[in-house]
Amino acid sequence: MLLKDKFFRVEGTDVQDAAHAVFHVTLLADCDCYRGHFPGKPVSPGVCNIEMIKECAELLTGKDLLLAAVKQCRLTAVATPAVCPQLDVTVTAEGTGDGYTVTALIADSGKSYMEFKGTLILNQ
Amino acid sequence: MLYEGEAIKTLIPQRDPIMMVDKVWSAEGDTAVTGLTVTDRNYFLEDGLVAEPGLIEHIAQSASAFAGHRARVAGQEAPIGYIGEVKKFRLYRRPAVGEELRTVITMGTEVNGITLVRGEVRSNDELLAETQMKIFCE
Repeated sequence: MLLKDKFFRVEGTDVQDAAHAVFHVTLLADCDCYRGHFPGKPVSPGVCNIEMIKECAELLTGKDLLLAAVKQCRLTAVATPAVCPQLDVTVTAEGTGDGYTVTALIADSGKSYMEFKGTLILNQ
Repeated sequence: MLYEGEAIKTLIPQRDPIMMVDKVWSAEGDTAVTGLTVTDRNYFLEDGLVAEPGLIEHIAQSASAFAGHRARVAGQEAPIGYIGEVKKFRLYRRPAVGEELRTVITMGTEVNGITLVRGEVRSNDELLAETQMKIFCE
């Protein structure tokens, strides 16, 4: 995985069933992405949060997945490792045969940062 | 060619290791053409291919470079833009190290600081990815 244990770390997982789980993650402030995004003003890149959702979906399904389509992904607040070091990534992955329809929410107790709907297919 | 290499830094706030545009070929009206050569140092490289979020970031930074160019032409500072929404992204193929991406950005009208952007990423005329996004500037 590209960003697990580099941009984020999974501290715990509440698995409801094969299609639903909540991942409790920490954003890692020493990730090298913050050197460039932005110098002196670390802001978590939105695309890294998208990748974090993809990697959580891979952890949930146990499959190597590709982000084939994003129907809609709203970035509802600016995330930084200082503002929201602890986040919950709630993932639903419904199987479609060659992949999954995934909906996900990144939030902490205060607010939500990303709402995602998309299609992840098996990487083969 | 309008901008290349170091000159891109006058247009966008992103820096290494996460700079995802290295050329602006043209910018006219609502359309700009940008580029990125995929190197083995690319931040989003996985198994020799640029992962999907890297293509989205390339499109976002291409739009940011276009906005930065427009600001320069108007004698203003380049704005910092954030992605507000990604919509209708489609991945067709991930590019490999050595491929030269060429991306067409179409900028919509700005309403309340939010601009609708379309991006299409090609390599040798093959469409690799496309998306719409909303960018908001501060």
